[in-house]
Formats: sequence, structure tokens, C-alpha cells
Amino acid sequence: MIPAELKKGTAEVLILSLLEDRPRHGYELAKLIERRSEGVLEFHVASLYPMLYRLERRGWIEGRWVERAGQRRRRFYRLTPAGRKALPEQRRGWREFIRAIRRVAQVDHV
Amino acid sequence: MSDWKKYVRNHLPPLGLSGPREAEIIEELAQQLEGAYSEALARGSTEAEAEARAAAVIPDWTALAAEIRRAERAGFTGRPEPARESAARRLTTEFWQDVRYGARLLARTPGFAAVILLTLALGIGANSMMFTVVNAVLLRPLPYPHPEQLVLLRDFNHDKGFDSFSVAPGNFLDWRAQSRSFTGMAAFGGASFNYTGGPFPERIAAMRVTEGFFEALGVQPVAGRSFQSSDFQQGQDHVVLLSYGLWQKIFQGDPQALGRNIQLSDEPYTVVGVMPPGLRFISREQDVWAPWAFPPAWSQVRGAHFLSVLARRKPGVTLEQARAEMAGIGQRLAAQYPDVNRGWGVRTDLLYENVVGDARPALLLLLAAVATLLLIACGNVANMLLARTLERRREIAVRASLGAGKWRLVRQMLAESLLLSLTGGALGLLLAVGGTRTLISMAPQVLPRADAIHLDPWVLGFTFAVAVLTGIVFGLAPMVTVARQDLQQTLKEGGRTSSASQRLRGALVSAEVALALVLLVGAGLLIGSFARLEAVAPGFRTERALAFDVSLPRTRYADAPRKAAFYESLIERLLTLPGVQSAAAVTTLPLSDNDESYTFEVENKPNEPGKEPSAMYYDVTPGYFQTMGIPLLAGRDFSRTDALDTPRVCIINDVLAREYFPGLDPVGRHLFLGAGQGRIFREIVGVVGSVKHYWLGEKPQPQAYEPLAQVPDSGATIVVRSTLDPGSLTAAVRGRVQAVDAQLPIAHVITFDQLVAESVSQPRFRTLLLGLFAAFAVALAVAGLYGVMSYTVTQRTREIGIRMVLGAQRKSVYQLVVGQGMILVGMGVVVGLGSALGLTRLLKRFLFGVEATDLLTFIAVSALLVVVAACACFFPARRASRVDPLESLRYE
Repeated sequence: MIPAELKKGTAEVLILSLLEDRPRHGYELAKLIERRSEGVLEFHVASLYPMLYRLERRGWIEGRWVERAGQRRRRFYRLTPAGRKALPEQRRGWREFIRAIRRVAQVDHV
Repeated sequence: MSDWKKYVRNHLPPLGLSGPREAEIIEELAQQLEGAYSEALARGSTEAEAEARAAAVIPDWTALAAEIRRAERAGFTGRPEPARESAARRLTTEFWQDVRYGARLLARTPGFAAVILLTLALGIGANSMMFTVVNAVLLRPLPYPHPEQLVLLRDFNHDKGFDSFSVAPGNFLDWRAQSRSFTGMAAFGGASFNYTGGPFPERIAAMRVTEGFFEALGVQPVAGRSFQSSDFQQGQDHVVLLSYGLWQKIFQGDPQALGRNIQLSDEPYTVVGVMPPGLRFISREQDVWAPWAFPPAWSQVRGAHFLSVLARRKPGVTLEQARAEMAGIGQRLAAQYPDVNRGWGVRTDLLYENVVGDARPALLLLLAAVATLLLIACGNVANMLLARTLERRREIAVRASLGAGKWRLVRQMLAESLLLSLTGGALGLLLAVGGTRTLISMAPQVLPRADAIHLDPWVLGFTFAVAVLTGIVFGLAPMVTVARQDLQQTLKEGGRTSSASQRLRGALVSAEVALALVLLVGAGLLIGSFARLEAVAPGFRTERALAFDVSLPRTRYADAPRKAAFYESLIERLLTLPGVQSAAAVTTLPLSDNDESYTFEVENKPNEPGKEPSAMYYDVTPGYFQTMGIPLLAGRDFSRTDALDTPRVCIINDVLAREYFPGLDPVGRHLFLGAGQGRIFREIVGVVGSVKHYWLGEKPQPQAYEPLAQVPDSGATIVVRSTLDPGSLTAAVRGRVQAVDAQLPIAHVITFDQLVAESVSQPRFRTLLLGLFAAFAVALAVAGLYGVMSYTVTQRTREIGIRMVLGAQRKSVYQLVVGQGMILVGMGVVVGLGSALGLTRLLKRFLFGVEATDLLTFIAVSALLVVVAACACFFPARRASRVDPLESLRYE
């Protein structure tokens, strides 16, 4: 079982990563997380949106309503410069964490 | 599902964010759900499956709302905060959020909402209904300029028991000459005319007025002129002012009508003007107004009282000053004319008092009753909301722990209360409109100014104010509970009821029972009175009899023989009608609002001056007693031989016989009745039973009869006793009257049953309404008790289960539950009886044959209430006794 704190942290990195190359809207993000984690991270939409709002408040991402011809308007989120700057830091932290977990797990196995 | 936005709005608790931001979030979440839904559909799910799939996306809305709120509140922000909304705007926004949230909550429990709204609609509706009536009847000023200056002057004589009496013309003329307090004073009196210009002869209502009447009233004609001095000279007084209605009816509103003549009671009258539409005076509707030219001799007539007097106070003269001046004048006149005026005085009352005075006590009583009903309704709604608040404690605690302040939560509760009370008020208004209409149609003659009763802005404002107040009152208990709630404790407890709120609910129920009991005691007393009143025999037989009025015009019936001949011939013809057993004429029909009363003197027993006894007085034709079913106790009835050329005779009732001829046989003795044709002592030829004249509850009083042939009157009521349904006789009777005189209308056709029913319409009206309100009150209080007991049983299921495991019998479970309920009822009954004991004193004036503290009524209604309450406890108790002990332990 993954502690809630970790889950939240994971998801934040995921979101920031997914927004790295282009802006996406909420539904798209939900689908992508579900697909890329191959269902392992059972990620509830119920936590996606609060997370988006928190990141937005933190100033890392920015949501904007975009209208496309023939479609309803969608709220697209993109990385802000602050978010772009924060992403590597976040990734590094996570990599270290995962490495640590792996080490501990191997010790356990041995 | 087409509208996912609505779905989200219905599920997401208010976030406490700005309106636009909240809308944004709702839209975004809706898109998420819609995405899941379309995707499921695309994969081949049915619509229902797809909907379920979408709904599963967000399993816990409260938690989501909490998270979003926390996210949005996050301290650091890269963006500047949007400009702060003003406090007022924020409050408004939040209020509407709260209202929407409350509406969503209620929509999820439609049964709960419906019961509350119905209760409130009933409580507020009853109040709006009574206020509509009270507003029109009591509060709205009379429709004349400066109505507060208008007074009515009446004679009184406390020695004779007349608190308010018609005025003698000699006194009126002296008042008018001597008083300084008034800008104008005029006498008036009701009259009627036969109008023969229409398709069939009809009786029209008239009012005779002396000079200056309309100036005092402050009303001007809309066409033509008002009366002028010359109209009041005898011989020049054949002019009339038409009511607007009659002008439309006869002349179709033609202005050429002015100056034309119309035939009224066979005499030509010139139309000089038309009065404004809707003008009415002293509750009665008039068709025409005619000048009242006093014969010169009237200036000395002080013993005959038949005028009413209207006056307008000068600006700056208070009612007290006018009263004092008139009292002084009355005393001077009593000293000046001791033989006729001793004991008589003047009373000066606001015209308003005369118009509405009689209706006021009953209306105020009913208004108090509906206010009580509303209090009970509030108690019930408060109880239901309290129960729900307890169920919502977790939600409330979660919201509070997420940063919603207590004040914010209380505001949320208030918004929900107001939502309920205003919706209930709107429904109540609909009920009130219907109820008011029913009320008026039920008892048109009971309410003065009934035609003015309608919905107006005051009623709307009243209803709104009552609804808001109601919402605050019944919302108070849940609000206080929320404000005092120990949130941490609640979260730990997992929503079990605290004993304090349980006590509060019990207290509310006891209070409801107490209030209901007060109403029930009041209703019980009125019902008891009414039953006793209805049981009173009026002194005549009421079944299968009919009465109608005729009025003989003096042109064709100038003298006594002609009048007597008319009555004789009419009665003869009526007797030929199939089914008619007997018929007769009488000048004043009992229970008909008309009366004639004269002082009398027994032969050889001169009266003490100022202490003359008086008797109700009737002129009748032979056969009257038989037709009415009044028993002849001694002597004989009048006969056709009792005429103008035979000795004067009279018949008295048993009361007069007993009181003034004690131990003697009055038949053959003589009596002088002051009916105004000299001091003629009449021989008493018979004694009859007494009849109720004014109302069924009156004490038996002296009554005397004279043969109509010896004192022929122009107007009389014809009574007809039949073996057939009297209502079916009207057309035949009209035909017989027309056969005698084709120009003569009949009026006021009424069966005796109707006559008696109308005489008790006032007590019936208030008894029925108070009974109805009390029934509602009991139903509400008992429903409240049932609610609390059911809730208690649910809460105590576990405890009851344990008791049963430990060997408690079903019977003792019953006792436990019913006993607990009856303690609440008992406390209510004790408080209720105490309050009723103090309050029923106010009912005294409405009671007949029952004391305000009638023990039997108090016991009976308490017993009734206790039995009904016990039934209400029985069902929860039965449920408790059927608790499966093992199941109940798993209950949590």
C-alpha cells in the first residue's frame, strides 16, 4: 500500500510531466495518467481536480478556457515558467525516493 | 443524462468560493463525468450503465468539496488574488450558494421536504387568511375622507338596560342646535321602496337622511347635485340620489336620467344626482337616498326613539372632548324634560366602532388561534430539522474542520430555514386565497365589509414577514445546536445523538402539546356553547315554514281598512295554495333583526316615573300563533271580529303574565301599550308562550301582541306554514301576492330553518373556525410527538435490544416507549391546562350556558388529547417491541 502522501506526490510529478510538452485539459490528463500507469496507479478523478487547483494556486500551472470551433470550451492547463523550473527538482526528489525504496526492498528480499 | 452540469451542481456541496470560480469548477467536473459517460456509451454500455459509470467517477462529493476547498485555500499563490469582493456581495453570493445547497439537500429527501412545506403552508396560510380578513374588516380605514372624525351618536338608558339605543328626534334637534364640537350632524334611517319600473315589482333599499348628511360624511355625487336645503321642506322632498348601481341598472348610466322622475312606492321622485360607485354606509347597501323632512311636531317627540345620528368632529376636537360635550348636553336635556328624558344619556362612538365593533373580538380570537397554530407548526418543523441536523452532524463537522466558521455554518442553516419558510409561505398564500374565498361564502353576513376582503400588498407583506419570522423561529433550534456543537466530539461519536438535543426535542413537543391543548379547550368551550345554543327551542316551530316581507305603499293603502283588507285577502288566497296549512302576518318577525318595543302599564298599577317596564311588541293577524306553532296557554286567539270598530284587545306572553300578574289570571284584565295612539287600555284576551326574539340565548322577556286590524301597519312579514318543502313555495307565493296587487313586490323570502340558522351564524362561524384550527393544532402536535418517539426508538434500538437480551418482556418495552412519550404529553397537558385556565376567561363573551372554566370540558379535551397522543406513541412502541435483540446488537 502506498501512503497517501506519496500518492499525492507521484501524481503531482505525473501531472507536471504530462504538461511538459503541451497544454492538456483535465479529462485528457485523467485518461493519460490511467493509461501510462497501466492502471497500476488507480488514480481517482476525485483527487485530480483538487490537485490541479492546488498546483495552479502554487503558480506551477495555469488553466485557461479555450474554445475550438464546433466544440465546447475546455480548460487547458499548461506549465508556467515556475512549474517548468520546479519539474526537474521534483523529478530528482522522486528518483531518489524510488531508488531508496528499491534499496530497501532489495535488502528485504535478501 | 443530458445535463451533467446540473448533476454536479446537485451533488457538490457549496465550496464557499466566488460565483464564477465555482461555476468554472462545476463545468470542469461536469466535463469529466460527461467524458466517462460518452466513453462508456462508445464501448457499448447501456445508457443506465454509462450513467452509473459516470456517477462512480466521484464517489464522495463531500470529500471532494473539502479537498477542492483546501486546494483553493492554499497559501502561496503565483497570481495576485482577484480584487476582494465587498462584504455585502460576498454575503449575498454565499447566501445564494447556501440556498442552492439547501434546495439540493431537500430535493434529495422529497418526503421530508413535502411534510415540512405542508406544515408551513398550513400554518402560514391560516395566518394569511385570517390577516386578509382582519386587514379588510378591522384595519383598513372606512372609505370616507378623514374617517377618524366621524362619530355615531346614540341614546342610552342604563336603568332600562339599553346600552345603546336609537335617538328620539326632539333630542337630535337639540343636540344639533347646542353642540359645538362638530362641523356637521345629521340623522338617518333605513327605509325601503317598492320599485315598479322594472320587469317585475321589486323592493329597493333606501336611506332617509336629514340635511347635511353627505357633507358630514364627506361624499359628493358623481353626477348631478347633492341634496340642498329646499329638499328638506315637506312637500318638496320627493327627490332622490341614485346609487351608481341602480343608475346603471335603470338608466344604463344615462346622464339624461338627471331630472327624470321614477316611481317609488307609487310616488314620483325626481332624480337629482348619482352617488359614487361602491358607496355604502353602516355595512348596508343602499339603492337610493331620499331627504328626510321632519314634521314640525317631531321637535317635541322625545319618547319615541327611531333615529340614528352621524356627526363629523371639527379638526382638533378630540373624541374625549366631543364625548364630554355631548354627555353634558344629555344631562341638561334629562333635567329639562324629566318626564321623558330621565335616565337617558348620549353616547358618542367612532363610526368605525359601530361598523366593526361586533366583529372584532371574534376576529382577534381567531387571529390569536392561528398564531398559536403557527407556533405549533414551527415547533414541528424545528423538531424535524433538529433531527436532520443531528443526522448531518458529520457533514457539518467535516465542513467546520475544513475551515467553515460557526457563523458561516449558522448562516447556512438560516438560509435553509428561510428557503423552507418562504416556499411554505408562498404555498400558504395560495391556501389563504382559497380559504378566504370559502370563508366569505360561508358567512357573508357575519363579516362587515366582506366585499372589501381581498388580497392586497398588506397581505403579501404580512405573509412575507410571517414567513421570514417563522423561518428564523423554527431555524433557531438547529442553529443553536450547530453553534454549540463540539465538533471534535461529533466526529468521534460518529453521529450519535447528544442528550441535550434530545431534551430540546422533547421540550418542543411538550410545548406543542400545551399550545394545542389551549386551543382545544377553547374550541371545546365554544362547541359546548354552540351545542347548547342550537338546542334552545326558539318558541316556535321551525320546520316547513316560510316568511316573506311586503310593504304597502301609502298611496293605494292610505287607511287602515284598506291595509286590513289587503292582508285578509292575501292570507285567504295563500290558504288556497296546495300544501299550505295556515298563513298570517306579523309586523316584526322573531330572529329577523327587526324589533319594536314599547313601555306598558298594567291597569290600576301606575308605573314609577323612569321605571316603566317595556315589552317586545307585535301586530299580528288571526292565526299567527297557529302558523308559528306558538302555544296558546290561556284565553283565545285574535279573530276577524277584532277590528277597528270593536273593543281593543291584546295577547301577552307567559313571562309578562307571570311577572306582572303574579298569582292572577291575566285574561280579562287590561294593559296599556305605549304604541302611540292615546292611552288606550286593552283587554287581555289570551296568554301565549314566549319566543326568542333577538337570539336563541336571550333570557325570556315580556312580549305583547295586538291585532293588526286594529293598528294596521304598512309593512309586514307574511308567514306561511306548509306540508311541503317551504323553499318550493316561493314562486307560488309571489303569484298569489301579485294576484292581490300586481304592483307589489315581495322581499326577504326565507324559510324558518334558514332564519334560525342565520341567527346563529356568528357563533357557528367562530366555533367552526376555532374547531378547525384546534384540530389542525392537535394533528400537528401529535405528528410531532410521533416523530420524536420514532426517532427515539431508532436511536435506542441497541439499548432496547440489550434489555430484551437481559430478559425484558415486550410489555415492558411498550411501557418504556409509551411511558417516555406520555411524560412529554403529561408535561404539556399540565402547562396547557394552566394556561387555558388563565386564557379562557377571554372567551367569556362567546360562551352560552358554559363557564369559562368548565371542568367537564377541561377534562374531556385533556382526555381526548392524551388518548390521541398515546396512539401516536403506540406505533413506535410496537416497533420497539419487535426489535430482534441479536439484530439490534449488530445495528451500529
